[in-house]
Amino acid sequence: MPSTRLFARNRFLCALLALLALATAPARAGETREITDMAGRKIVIPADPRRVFGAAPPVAVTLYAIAPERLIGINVPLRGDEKSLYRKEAVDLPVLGSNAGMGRQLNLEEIAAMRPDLVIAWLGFYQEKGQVEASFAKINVPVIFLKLDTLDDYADAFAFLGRVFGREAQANEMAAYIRDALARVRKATADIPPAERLRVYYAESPDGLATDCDKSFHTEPILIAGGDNIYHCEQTSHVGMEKISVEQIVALKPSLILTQNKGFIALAKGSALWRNVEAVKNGRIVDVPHAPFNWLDRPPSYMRALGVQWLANLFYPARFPLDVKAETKKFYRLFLGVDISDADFSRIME
Amino acid sequence: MRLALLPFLLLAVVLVALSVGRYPLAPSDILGFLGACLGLVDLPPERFDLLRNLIVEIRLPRVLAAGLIGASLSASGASFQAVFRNPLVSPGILGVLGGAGFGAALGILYSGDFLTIQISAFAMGLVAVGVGVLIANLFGAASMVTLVLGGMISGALFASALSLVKYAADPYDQLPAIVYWMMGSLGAVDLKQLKGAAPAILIGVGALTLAGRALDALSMGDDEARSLGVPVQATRYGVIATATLVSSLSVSLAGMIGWVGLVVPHVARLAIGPTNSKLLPASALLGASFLIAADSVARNITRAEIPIGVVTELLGIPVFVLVLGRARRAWA
Amino acid sequence: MREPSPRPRLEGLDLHFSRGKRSVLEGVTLGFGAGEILALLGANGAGKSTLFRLLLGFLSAKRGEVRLDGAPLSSFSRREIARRVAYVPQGHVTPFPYTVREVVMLGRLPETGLLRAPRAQDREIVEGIIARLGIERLIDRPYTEISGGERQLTLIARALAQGARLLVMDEPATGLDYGYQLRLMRHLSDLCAEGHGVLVSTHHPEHAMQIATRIAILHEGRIEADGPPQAVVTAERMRRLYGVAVEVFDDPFGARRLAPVVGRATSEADR
Repeated sequence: MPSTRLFARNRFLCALLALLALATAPARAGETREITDMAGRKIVIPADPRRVFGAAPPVAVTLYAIAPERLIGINVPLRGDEKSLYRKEAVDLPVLGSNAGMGRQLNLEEIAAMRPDLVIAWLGFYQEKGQVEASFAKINVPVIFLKLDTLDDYADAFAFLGRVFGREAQANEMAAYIRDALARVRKATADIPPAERLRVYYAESPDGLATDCDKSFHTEPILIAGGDNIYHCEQTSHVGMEKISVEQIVALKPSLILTQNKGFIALAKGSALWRNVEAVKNGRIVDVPHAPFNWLDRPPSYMRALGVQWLANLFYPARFPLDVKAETKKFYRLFLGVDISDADFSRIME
Repeated sequence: MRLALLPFLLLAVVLVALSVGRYPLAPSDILGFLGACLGLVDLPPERFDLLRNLIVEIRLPRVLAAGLIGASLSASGASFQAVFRNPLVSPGILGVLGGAGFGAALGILYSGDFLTIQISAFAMGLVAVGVGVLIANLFGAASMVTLVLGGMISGALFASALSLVKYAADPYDQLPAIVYWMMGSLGAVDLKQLKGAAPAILIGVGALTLAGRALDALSMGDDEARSLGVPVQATRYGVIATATLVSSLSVSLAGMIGWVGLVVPHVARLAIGPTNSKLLPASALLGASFLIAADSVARNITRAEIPIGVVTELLGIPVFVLVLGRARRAWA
Repeated sequence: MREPSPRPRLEGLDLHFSRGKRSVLEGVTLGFGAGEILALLGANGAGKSTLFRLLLGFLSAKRGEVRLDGAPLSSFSRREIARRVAYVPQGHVTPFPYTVREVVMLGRLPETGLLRAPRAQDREIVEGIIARLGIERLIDRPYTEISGGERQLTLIARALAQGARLLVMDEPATGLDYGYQLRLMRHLSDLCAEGHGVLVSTHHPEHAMQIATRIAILHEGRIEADGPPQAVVTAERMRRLYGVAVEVFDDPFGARRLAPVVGRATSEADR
């Protein structure tokens, strides 16, 4: 019967097509589900997002920890001198810019061409949420927001991302690490009276004369580790880096200087300007490790979970004893997916 | 106002600037320190050392740097205005600022060492002016118009090169450092650097002052200057080279400080007239006083330092508007 | 430094000059000395300004030579030239408000040199000259705020302050009102009588005939005529030079006059 044969042939064709579709498209492609993001928005996203773009460095660095192979790009070029510390999945990713801070801004058309199925944006203090939503609505990609204001938020963010990517176990381990680190550091430093807290000056820029307020998100780790950031004020801009005079630093008597510029250590030790600054007199200027990502800031990230322990140990070795090397190895394994050697460790701490 | 009063104004500003700062010192501390220096008063050695550090090592270099930079920007601005016969010209006319900005950014990108940044800014400032003059000569004989065009092109060229450097810079630390350098800062200048730059700046400003009468003739027009016996090309290029050297030295010391080189010569001209042999020293003295005062505002008015470039703009623009109102008739 | 000659003289000999392919001057020989007012007539574009710039040494000739006091101009330094020959440009506006006194004081530059400040003696000379030209009421006014005629007198005062005996003036009467035109001519006559030599270019043949001791006509890059006013200014020449008809006649006082021919007569003469 011709009609049956036709039907049979059609069925065969359908099966073939379905098989083809299964072979080429990712599993569960097209399937979606509704979630509530960290901004409290209900939004429909792919059930298993495969091509993900993190729209700002703190987000992308977080995704780097939990789902590196899903990233379609990064925001800023990776530092060339630390290639060995990066996951191999990320080394060759294209640089796509970001929608936050200074530097390369993303190009929406370029993002569209990369065909992301999910954009994850930063619910930052200085980000206009509506604007971010509107811009990605133009290229018809769902956006979810991560809240990363404080180190505690990072623990929640990992737990949330674990659900997004179906990697709850790994994500919960990370979240637990952050919560545990925070709890231990807080416990060790909670009872230090304000007057006895270590006075810390946070030196940025090559001349060491830019800094950030103690209430700025840029310097949160100093606060958590029980240090007293001598520059007491409210943050006024996203970028921060406020100018300060040497005289004011002399007056504020810091016992320790954390610097983000290695060149500054030599400058401060060699200059008459700085010689009466207490920390310089005592030779206590410490360079912040930054490989492959900065331990404290720029970008702010979960690296702070290690950073606060290192700082607490640096500030109060008796109250917070720490095997920095062992802790660093453990942290890099868990979050960055690399096993570092002793040589790597000394390079990082150099 | 007479020229002879300006040194006293400068002295007064210097004394006030040395007495104020974010570190709380009472006038009695200052007097005590002066007394101790002269051997009249006994201070505990620790206190004396702190005062010496604050007044001599921290405030003095900054005040001296502000003075030197204000003087050099103003004197070179006045010289450029005479050479180009245009009261709206500022020391940046030939692209020196664009070049220095690019040089500084390059220094931040590749070294981050403060001294390297300064040297790189100075060198690229000179290179930019050289490129501008070269472009001017491409058009044929270098005239006023081709020089200005060459400077504009060179300045734009280096500004876009700066944008490229910014694009390549690490947005976490290098980029903000470049942006902050662009706004100018006097906070990191110390006596060592001043010893290097000060003689060149002082000699340069002195040489410009000596060229004052030739500049008067030159500001009448090339042919008239020639008919008055002035070697026009030698004077023009000598003055341009000196003013460029002096202004790029100051840019390399403290970054971009706008408006001083444009506004101060106008104020000085209103006060003592356009004769360059008086105008140039007056501009230098007034510029020094102005920048020291502006810097004192920058480092004292709020807890965070206001970038000096922002202060000179905020103070300079209203002054310029006032001056324009009074000088307008002369250009009609 | 050589002292200026008692009988100063500036002359161009067989001057050739071209700008690109266009020939501007083709063998111009013209000189003047103390006690002379030489008026140079010529239509716009005839090459008067180029000739002046060659004579003042601002340009160098392709062929020919400029001689000052009998020696090649190129053998003099700028400053030496400035003590012998002064240039009076058209009254222009400077960008900076120099006072009349300051502008005239610039004339002392060749004497004092570039580095020495003016002395009391220089100030006296400047004030004397300003008084002589009758502009002492302007002495402390900005040069930028006085009239065109006052500016022209200021520039003449500056030329005199140079102490040079020879003056080269580029169309000084342009833009002056009637009163200043007459005043200017009187000053030039006086200067000539005192032993100055004046080379003046003008668009006004009438002015030239009133004060010039000699008139030269520059036409298409050549000196077409050079001689006493009576001999040089004829109706035919004026028609060829300016392309318009004029009547030339001697007035009852013996001076030669020009009168434009208007109406029907113009078209006849033009034909």
